[in-house]
Amino acid sequence: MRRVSSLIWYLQRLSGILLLIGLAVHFWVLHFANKTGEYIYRDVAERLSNPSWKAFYIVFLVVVIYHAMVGLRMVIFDFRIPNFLRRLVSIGLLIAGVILFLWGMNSLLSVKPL
Amino acid sequence: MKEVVRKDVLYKAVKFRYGLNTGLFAWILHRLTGLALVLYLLLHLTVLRSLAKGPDSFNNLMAKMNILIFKILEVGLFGVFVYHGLNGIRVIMSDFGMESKYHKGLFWALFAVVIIVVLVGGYPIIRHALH
Repeated sequence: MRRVSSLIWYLQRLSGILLLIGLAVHFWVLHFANKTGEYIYRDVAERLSNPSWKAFYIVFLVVVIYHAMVGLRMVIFDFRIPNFLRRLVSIGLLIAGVILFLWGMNSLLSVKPL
Repeated sequence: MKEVVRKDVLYKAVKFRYGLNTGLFAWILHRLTGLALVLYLLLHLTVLRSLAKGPDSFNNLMAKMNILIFKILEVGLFGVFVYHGLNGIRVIMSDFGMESKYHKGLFWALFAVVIIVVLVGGYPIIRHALH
């Protein structure tokens, strides 16, 4: 269990660094490279028709949800709560993360080129 | 010899350790920005559900959000992200023992960088809504 906690801790740092890079790319595409300031379905569809972009956003989704769920776990665990509740929180956040991922993936994969 | 615990000294030490110092301030802000970003993630994924409802649904929703107040909120969000990210790097540095004895100065330097990045990076977000 301690080894798992340690792995979660390391992955939280790694995902944080990946997110900094990913968010910089995401921000660049949506705000710097965006000449009109509008968000249009056609642009999203065009970007996602490129497999590299699609892969980028799938990885981005996984990493951001991981970082968010583990971050929430850390905040909750800062409070002294009994062990069974800690386990319950971990399982709850894991399930929430999987649901969020499937939900986001469904949106991502529903985008079809016009 | 009997050991005497001087409570006034003890309290002073405790107060010194647990007062609102730079490290605690950075930590609280990291927690708050983290929670705000989780809430935003949920909001973002909810709004992006409109992608699954088709082009018109997405375009209409985005057009409604293309107003100054949302752009200002986006700049605020950008600031929250930049702080959380840069302070995260500082946390990682100190986790691996790379933080120097100048950590207090480093934090305030980081804070200044956040403000500069938000001013420079915030303009592209808001520029279209201003004209």
